Amino acid sequence: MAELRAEHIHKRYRDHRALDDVSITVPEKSIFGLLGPNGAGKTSLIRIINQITGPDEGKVLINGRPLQREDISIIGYLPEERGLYKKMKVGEQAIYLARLKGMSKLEARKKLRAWFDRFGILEWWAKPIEDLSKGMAQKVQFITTVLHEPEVLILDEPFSGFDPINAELIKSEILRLRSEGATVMLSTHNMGSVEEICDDMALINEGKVILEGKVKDVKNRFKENVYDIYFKGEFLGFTNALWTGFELLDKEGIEDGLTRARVRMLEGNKVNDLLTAVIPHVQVNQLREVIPSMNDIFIRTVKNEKKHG
Amino acid sequence: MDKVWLIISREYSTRVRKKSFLIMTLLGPLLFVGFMAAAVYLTQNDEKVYEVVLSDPDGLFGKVLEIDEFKDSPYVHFHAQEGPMSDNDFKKSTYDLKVDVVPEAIYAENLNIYYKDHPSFSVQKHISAQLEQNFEKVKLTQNNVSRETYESIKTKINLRPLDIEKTDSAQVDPEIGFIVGLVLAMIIYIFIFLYGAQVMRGVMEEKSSRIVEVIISSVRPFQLMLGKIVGVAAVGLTQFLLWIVLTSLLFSGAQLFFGDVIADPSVLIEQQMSPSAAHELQNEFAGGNEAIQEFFLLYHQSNIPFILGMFLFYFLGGYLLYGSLFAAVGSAVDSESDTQQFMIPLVMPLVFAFIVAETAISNPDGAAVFWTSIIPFTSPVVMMIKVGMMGMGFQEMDWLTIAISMILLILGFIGTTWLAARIYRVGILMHGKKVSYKELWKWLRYY
Repeated sequence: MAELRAEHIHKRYRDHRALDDVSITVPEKSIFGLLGPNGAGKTSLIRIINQITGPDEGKVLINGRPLQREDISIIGYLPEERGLYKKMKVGEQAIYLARLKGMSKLEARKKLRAWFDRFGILEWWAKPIEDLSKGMAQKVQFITTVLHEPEVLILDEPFSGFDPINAELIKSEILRLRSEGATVMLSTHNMGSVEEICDDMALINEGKVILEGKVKDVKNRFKENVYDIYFKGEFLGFTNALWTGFELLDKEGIEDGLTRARVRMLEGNKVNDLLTAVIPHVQVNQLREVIPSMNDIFIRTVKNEKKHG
Repeated sequence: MDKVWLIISREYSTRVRKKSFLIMTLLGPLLFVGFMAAAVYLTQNDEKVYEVVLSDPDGLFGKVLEIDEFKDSPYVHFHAQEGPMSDNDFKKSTYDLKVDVVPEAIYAENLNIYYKDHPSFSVQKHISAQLEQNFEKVKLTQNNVSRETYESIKTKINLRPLDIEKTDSAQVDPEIGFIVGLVLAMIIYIFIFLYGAQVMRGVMEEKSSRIVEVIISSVRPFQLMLGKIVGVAAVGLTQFLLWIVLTSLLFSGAQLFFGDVIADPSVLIEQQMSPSAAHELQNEFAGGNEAIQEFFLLYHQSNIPFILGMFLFYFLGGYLLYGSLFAAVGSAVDSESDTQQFMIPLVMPLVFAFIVAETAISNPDGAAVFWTSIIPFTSPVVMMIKVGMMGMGFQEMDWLTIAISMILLILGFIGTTWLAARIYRVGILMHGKKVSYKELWKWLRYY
């Protein structure tokens, strides 16, 4: 089990600033989503954590101590730009990559057999990679990433290139690995998967962290006291019932005289106040709070940043 | 270090198991022996027997010449024809070659031979030798000189250059030293090109298949580059060894098939020539008894361990120097077609070195050879000429030059490896960017 921390990371390339004082904490046994638009600096940060490049300033800590070269054996890394030797046989190649991570040949072979069996690709063992479909190769790649049972798993765009079924498989594997004690950091553009599996997140834009925290908290933070209310009855009566304490944002006729209205509470009004106000005029069918999706949060935050920055 | 070893063994085992390796390993010696055999076969292929008619319009045969004195060879049969033979008569006859033996011919320097099928060199050589011998006899008789007197007067001089500094012992033609050096130079030259290109392609493969980032999350880029270069070198050495073994096997096989001809060209000559002509030619080739003498002389004055040691050093040094640069080029480009602009500066010094080496025979102590045998980019090739000359005992050991050259080569390949590694570690992660020299310069200066 390991906690991963990056502290005040700076990375400058000649023509631009890739990372500007980035600090993140990935708690142990959790899944951390690293989000951001293309070119935000996600891959730069990930490469620094994997010791592929070094930071200009700042440091990476693992369980509170500085990351060392030997730690690569407890890290599993799935890069965004990934591939395998096309001509090499699947099993042989997987063993080679495992041995580079410090596993013995015997151990690697034993564990690989188990994984291949579980993924149903055992019959591909002696085939060259070039004979495999893309999804199949991606599975092999994923296995080679996690085979040495890393305490820290860093996945750059793990779902890209997978069809929905295989993406689901990978998702469940990631969750399983976390439950077995792995600390996972993943970068993705797939906001749905962030909501589904991530415990924590950070949003990077132009090399800076602009939003971070527990996914639940972040979403709550973006709640705006907005509700969707479904009702039957006169819309005019409904609007009349809303006095100054509410703001009507949007409305939409649905079917059979059913209407959906989006309302924001003002002046500290609660749900009960809304109901009290409208019940005499219309027949309320349904009421629920509008919680912004990660997608909305992402777009809103990044756009906002552009405006101000 | 364990990981570098892993990389080396992967490079080695995947390459050695490739079909192309097997094909090249088998085909190399086959081609080599095949060419040799073809050459021998072609020269030997005069299975046709040439019937040579010596037309005698002036009735010289029976008076001053005897047809029996013209010795036949397995491929040449002489016939005398009394009286003139017109071109048409010759065409209609069954003879293949015709020489008009007129009195003037005996004193002529050039003589026409008319043919239906162009005679081979060895057939011509045999005929001219027989004519010379018989015409000589006529002249000897006419001048009242005995054959013995003539043989004692006849003078033939072979120049043997002797180094004034080494008057103590007999000496051998230094050309042999040059040839040994040139062969070694050629091997190094070819090896650098062949296997340098393999390193480059290997790097490009890792880059374009995108496996490189997976690997450098486990090992340093420098280790990966080094492992590849060393692995490919091991493949090259293996192939080289196999070539030597297979070639010698094939040669012994070919020897059984073709007889002694391949092993000893003098057999070929003897078969087709009169003993005296053959002897003369053999002298030119080897010098008869002297050949054995020369061989022992060479054996005594040559320093085989020195030659082998130096060859191995420059072989590896040159390969390492260029191998890392080839790796850097491979890392900087996305496709093979982009390599050209970076290849030229790599290829030029090598080609230049080889040209210097080839022309070194005219002036092996000249400034061009000296400087190019010191500069690391050309020394692996050019130094071999000096190694050949010194190692075979034709030049004094110039330890100072050797030391300078070796130290510079070591510094050279450390330098190029360092330079290449800086380009490499940036290049392998860079995609979809057309790289210029300016860009490379920037990469060098990244920290």
